[in-house]
Amino acid sequence: MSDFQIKVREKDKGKSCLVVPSGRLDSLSALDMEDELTKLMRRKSIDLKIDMKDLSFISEEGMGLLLGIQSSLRSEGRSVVFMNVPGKIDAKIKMIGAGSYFVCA
Amino acid sequence: MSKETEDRGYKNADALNELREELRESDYMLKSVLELSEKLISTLDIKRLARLFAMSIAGNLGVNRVSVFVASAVGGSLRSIYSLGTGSDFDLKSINVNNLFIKWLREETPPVHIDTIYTGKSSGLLVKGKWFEKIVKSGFAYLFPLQFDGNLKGLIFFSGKVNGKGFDKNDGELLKILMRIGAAAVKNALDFELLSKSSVKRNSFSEVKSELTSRRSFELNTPLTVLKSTLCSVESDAVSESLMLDMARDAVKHLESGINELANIAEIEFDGTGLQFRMTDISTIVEECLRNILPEIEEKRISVTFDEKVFREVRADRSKIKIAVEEIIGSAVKFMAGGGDLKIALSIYQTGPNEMEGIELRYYDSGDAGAMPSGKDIGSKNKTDGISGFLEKQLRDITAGEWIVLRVKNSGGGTEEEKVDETVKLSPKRSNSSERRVERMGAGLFISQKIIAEHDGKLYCRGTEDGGTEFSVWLPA
Repeated sequence: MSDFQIKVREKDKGKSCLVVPSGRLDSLSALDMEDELTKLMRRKSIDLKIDMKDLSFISEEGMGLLLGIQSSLRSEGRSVVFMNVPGKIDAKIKMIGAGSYFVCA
Repeated sequence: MSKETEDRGYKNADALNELREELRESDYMLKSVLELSEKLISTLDIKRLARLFAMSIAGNLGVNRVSVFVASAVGGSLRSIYSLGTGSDFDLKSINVNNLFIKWLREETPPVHIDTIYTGKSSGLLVKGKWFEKIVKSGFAYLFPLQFDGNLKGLIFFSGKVNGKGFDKNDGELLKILMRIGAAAVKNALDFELLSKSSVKRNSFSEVKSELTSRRSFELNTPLTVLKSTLCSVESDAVSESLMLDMARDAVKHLESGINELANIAEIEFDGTGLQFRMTDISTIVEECLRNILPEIEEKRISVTFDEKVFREVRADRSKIKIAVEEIIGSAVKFMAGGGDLKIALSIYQTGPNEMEGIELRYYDSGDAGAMPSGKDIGSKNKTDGISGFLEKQLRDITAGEWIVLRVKNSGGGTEEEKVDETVKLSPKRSNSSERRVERMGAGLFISQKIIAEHDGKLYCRGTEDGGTEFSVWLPA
């Protein structure tokens, strides 16, 4: 059973959202996370901050989702910042050549 | 250690590192492929599959935009299932591909750089159209066809890698394997989708058939009651024997006709099998139908005219088309108040029906059930085998050629006007409930439409200026 959870907190008087996923971001939880992020992205003016400190694993689908989210928000003139990226996940990001694509804090 | 030995040592170490790197990449590739196979094989939901597939491509290759289009029931059309990384502005619902495009696609080695389509570098093909502009403007750079057994199941569009580098040999190999797995999974999901929809339609059809059968069975009770009463009367000698015998003969005739109709209804199959085609004269069928409903026509004092302008026979299953014609004339009579006019006309048309005919009554909606036309089938109108063929047949554009048209027009009127409006306004496509459809459209008209469709024909209904209704049956001549 997946231990994936996602918490969402509004920040800056509703102008941005802090998303805190935890556990394993595998193919199944990537679909859940996309559903959750899609709901947030429907609110036109909102920017996203994704705190990845509690993420223990990310699959290729999870990585694909993050690339897609970054691309979608950019195309709409909005931003997404990835925070506290764990070392293993950072290595995976670099392995697919997306190191400079993500905005990390 | 000599310098030469030292150099050789470095070279060996480099080669070893390269080999290690290659093995690591191969291992990674194999792992990705196995994982993706496991995930895709375990789902038959086309949307879920497309999402997983797109995310997997993006995550494996480091691309940020992927869009999945799959074969639609409408020949030459591919419907959008899912797009990743495009934002809300990307609203391309479907794309039309022609035979030239499919032919060209087969000659190219995927992944195909979209520039080659746009400029026609390789084969002189220049793709025009809004769909292509949208694809290019949305940042897609490559396309990969999903082919299974030589048939096109879909197209995957994707952007370049986010690091700006091109796809290397490993990426190319990985893409090929991913797409092969994807094509098989998409094929299975489309088959499943098609069968599910077909199953729903089959169940709805069974409900309609059952409704009509029970209605007709109920109608058989009347002549049966007459026969029973006659027997009682003859036995008790209460009334004139000859009068009762006439009534009995009439009742037997009705019973016989009703039982034959029931048998005919029972023979109608969902997939159109069981029809026995031969050259048939529609005008004699109309006359027979009018004779059958003569008691109701007389009771309502309806004036009937039959204008017959055509003597050509059509290829039809006589008993089935008779059920359809009788149901249509019966419906027209049913909606009439006393003293109205029923006008029936049979004529020949050189062109197909247009919007003036009103609403096309369709039991089977076109939807996008995913008949999965193959590259060679796209544009072809002759494929009629299996369920895909059946659906394609429903969707086929058959407006060309000569048509025999039967028009049944009533003058409506009186208290039945509401019912006429209900019939005229009905749109089976708007409702998802087969029960509601039966209630509003009448089981008989559903069966009629089904029979007419099996003859490659069409059934229309429209309100007339004088408040009546006109049904028109279009059968290919």
